Amino acid sequence: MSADAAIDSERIQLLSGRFGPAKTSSFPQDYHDLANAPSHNVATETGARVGDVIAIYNSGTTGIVGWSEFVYLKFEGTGAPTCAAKQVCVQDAAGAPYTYTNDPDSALYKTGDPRAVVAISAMTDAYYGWFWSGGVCPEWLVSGLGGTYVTNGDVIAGPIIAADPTTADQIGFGPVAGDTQAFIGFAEATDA
Amino acid sequence: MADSTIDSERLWLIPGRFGSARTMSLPEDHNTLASSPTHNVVAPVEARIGDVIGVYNTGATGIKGYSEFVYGRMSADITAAAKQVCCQEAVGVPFTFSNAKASVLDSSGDPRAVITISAMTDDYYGWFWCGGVCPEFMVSGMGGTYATDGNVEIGPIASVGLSGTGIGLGPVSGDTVAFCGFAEAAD
Repeated sequence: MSADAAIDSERIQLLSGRFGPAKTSSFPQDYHDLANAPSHNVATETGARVGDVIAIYNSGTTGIVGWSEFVYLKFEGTGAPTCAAKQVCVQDAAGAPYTYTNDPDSALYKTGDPRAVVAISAMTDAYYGWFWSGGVCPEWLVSGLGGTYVTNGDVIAGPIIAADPTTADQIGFGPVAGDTQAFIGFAEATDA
Repeated sequence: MADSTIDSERLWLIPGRFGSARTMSLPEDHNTLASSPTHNVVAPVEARIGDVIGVYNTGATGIKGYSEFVYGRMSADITAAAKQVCCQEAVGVPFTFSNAKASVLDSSGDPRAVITISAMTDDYYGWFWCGGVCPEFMVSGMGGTYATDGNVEIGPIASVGLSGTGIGLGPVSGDTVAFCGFAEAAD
């Protein structure tokens, strides 16, 4: 494996729909900065339920033009590492679905969890909030998401997975295994 | 390895495999989907094959979160019961599902595999669990264990033909990794 590296926010697209369809395409309570919305980083579910998905359009004023998706989750942040925006998170080993952690030591399955998401801000342990889960990087509506994201140094253009970088207590992105291909459909017969 | 099982609360199916849900409420406000007048009927009732609904599990029973259901036709090539994995039947069109390993197009790795929510009559129409957490709150009898091939570990799962006549859940092949996004450049 190569040394840990980074990839620019504008060169990442997360698969949409991994948590189901978006329930709304507007800001919660019309906030224009999702990380500061009253539904985000709160002790109890506020204006949303775990598993809820929203989709918001990035104008391109900052970042890439297109849709971003966010899923409402509970954050498990006991101990290291300190939570911050742009960290890759996966399901916590001790939590139910929709309880996520940024700690590779607490992850249920860190390398290749198809439900990996990205923190949009620092989060308090056991608090609820929004995580980037699909589409382009939401730089327009969440300040602080631009810049680089941690990788394991092996990423090339193509499908990516959640991965465990070698040099730090964190989760990042890595390439899919060599024999993996992204399938786009299903053939109901052999070819002629 | 011998067939085994996995608990309902340790399963999660990928949502959206049949498209976006058209509604987020139960058909006709029934609290038990398997007993609704749309389910296990000789002809489609108030739903069309391929329709998807998403319903929220409160967590009163089972895991809290969304579940998705797709409306399909059941080919009960072996006796049907709740919690059986089904794949497209070999002689059927899309959305015709069978619970028999010998009757399906592709028992191991069909990305459109679904799970029955009740016993079903052969050639009848109804709802199948196709996404999200196990719908234990709105469908009685979905809790408990699900058949596996005995090789499942934490991580992505696929449909798999069991040693008997049925279909269950198994791990993806060794070199397969479920991906979550796309990088447009090297790091």
